[in-house]
Amino acid sequence: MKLLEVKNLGVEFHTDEGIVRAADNISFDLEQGEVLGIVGESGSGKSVTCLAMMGLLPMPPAKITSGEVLFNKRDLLKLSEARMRAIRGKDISMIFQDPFTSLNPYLKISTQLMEVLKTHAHTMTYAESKRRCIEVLEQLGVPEPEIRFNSYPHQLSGGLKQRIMIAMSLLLQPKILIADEPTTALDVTIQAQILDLLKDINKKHGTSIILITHDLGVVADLCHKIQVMYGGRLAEQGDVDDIFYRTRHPYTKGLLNSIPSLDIEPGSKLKPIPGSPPDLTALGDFCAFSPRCSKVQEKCRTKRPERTHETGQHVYECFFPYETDQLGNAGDRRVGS
Amino acid sequence: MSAANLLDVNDLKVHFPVTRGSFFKREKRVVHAVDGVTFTLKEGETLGLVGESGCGKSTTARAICQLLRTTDGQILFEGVDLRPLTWNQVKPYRKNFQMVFQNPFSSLDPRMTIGSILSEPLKHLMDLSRAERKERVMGLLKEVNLNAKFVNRYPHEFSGGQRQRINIARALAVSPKLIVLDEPVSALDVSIQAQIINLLQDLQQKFKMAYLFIAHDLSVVKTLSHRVAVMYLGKIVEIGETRELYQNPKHPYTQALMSAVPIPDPIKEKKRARIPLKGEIPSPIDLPSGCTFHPRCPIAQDRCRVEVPKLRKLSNGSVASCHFAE
Repeated sequence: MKLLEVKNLGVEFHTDEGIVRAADNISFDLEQGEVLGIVGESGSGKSVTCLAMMGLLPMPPAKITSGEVLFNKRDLLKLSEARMRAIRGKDISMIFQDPFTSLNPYLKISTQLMEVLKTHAHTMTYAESKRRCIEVLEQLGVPEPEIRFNSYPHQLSGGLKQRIMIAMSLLLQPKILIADEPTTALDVTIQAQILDLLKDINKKHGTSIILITHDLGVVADLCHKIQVMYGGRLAEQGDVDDIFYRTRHPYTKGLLNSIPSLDIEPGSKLKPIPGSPPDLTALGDFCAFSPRCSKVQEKCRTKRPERTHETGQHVYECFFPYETDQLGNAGDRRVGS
Repeated sequence: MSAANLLDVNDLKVHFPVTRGSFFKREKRVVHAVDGVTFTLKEGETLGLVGESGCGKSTTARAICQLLRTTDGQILFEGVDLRPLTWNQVKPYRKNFQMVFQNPFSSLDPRMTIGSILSEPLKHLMDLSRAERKERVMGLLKEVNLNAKFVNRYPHEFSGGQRQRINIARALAVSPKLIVLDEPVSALDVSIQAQIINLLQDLQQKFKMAYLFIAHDLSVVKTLSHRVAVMYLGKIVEIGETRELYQNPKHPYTQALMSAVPIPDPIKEKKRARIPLKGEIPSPIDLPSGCTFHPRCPIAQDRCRVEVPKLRKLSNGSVASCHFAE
């Protein structure tokens, strides 16, 4: 059963430099218990898509130009703010990138956690709420949860703060958890702990997760489906194996080629994508990746590629995709190895 | 100390005093940011320095570049100890070592044009005429693959990757023998990161300078480094030749660190064996007794709680500080 369906979502920002199309015709869906990874570089529209879904974009300057977001057969974009508030935090909750700024420094952890229950679970008594908070903290492996419950954010480390953020979003057992770069600000060993935690939540409670990240290593294990975005548009979408082993879009391929991995030979050369990310105000009706693409042809500069649907869920927007039989295995991705 | 070494760092210590408590009940305490770091760097060599945040990698970098006061130890640059020298006495040596900082957005003065940013080190450290300086600046822009017409533009007109190129050009300006790179690519997008890594490799091949490359991303460090040192709580816990250290990590912290890196390949990633680490890096104020890694170490024993392990040479040529490494 489809839990969430995003159809042709379009978001624009009206700025002094012109209109920025931050998300352009984005579609995806999420099933119960599924983990979707949204991958892209800064400015590719991955956060904007999720913020728009949650009704968290400041409007103006943002404007939702098209599309619908269906959750439980209701279009979230058409709901009133009051209705949306009832869903936000309860059915769909969000973890933000920076655990250092997303907690209020003036308020104790207890106040910030209890606020969620106060808003959404009116029937709970104070003692019940407190018990629930501590129970969730315990589940998340927070050491000495009762002491942490009464501390202020500055008394906690980055990893602990991120755990508190996750705890906050799990208090009401949401159906969907949106995690916006949850580990970018953290060290690798702590990152590993947090990713294990997300995997656990998904397995134990069947919570669907949307994981926004720029790190293809992070999505490789955790996600079932991946959506690659570029310049506010969809580049490629499919299950994990489609994206990693049956790559069609040159941008996805370029991204996979440009990341160094632990089995790289010391001193070998990487294959970067030339050029720099696009200026979203100047994107016209042509392929957004064409200025940097290795397979670019005249057609790409004048026309925007349509969406090609392949067998299964594999979708991409490209005129000249990589052929499946040309693809090598992971080994020939890099020069010199 | 052998004559072939460009840089010899011996038992370097950087401690910061901090005060805690109320105005009347002051308590003086010490942050052991760098606590006895020893390593060498040869000409034209790249040493990678990795570790988690707060382990003292950046402080080590700044200490070597004489950008902060050190507490103890020696920093020998071509055999000359720079540590006891005053600011003015160090100046003639400065053209030998330059630094590239992490954040490309805050390390360039927004009020200076690219031309003036690049000619500033030339003005202070080299004796060149105005025309020579101009020529050199143009040459530098070409070296880092930037268009020469950018010379009169301001930093805000550039993207993160381009700004990092400008930073590298500035470090390159005085033809240093050592460039200390403090997380030069961690603020950049992946596709741009690869461009900068390749540029650094090309420049080293051309100009033969040494790099001290600091990063928390182990894959990036592996790509660039000849040797790698792993730091934990202000100390080097393992140092060795890159290939050996990655294939055959000896210290339990190095092993855990390596195993925590996600692999961008689903099949390999599913097979990855992880060594989970308990808890987080302890405070550098109250260092754990004995081996500082023991509270998180999966193989810690009673001995580790009391006895500080010394760095010793192992069978594979790496040097590690663990009682149980072989």
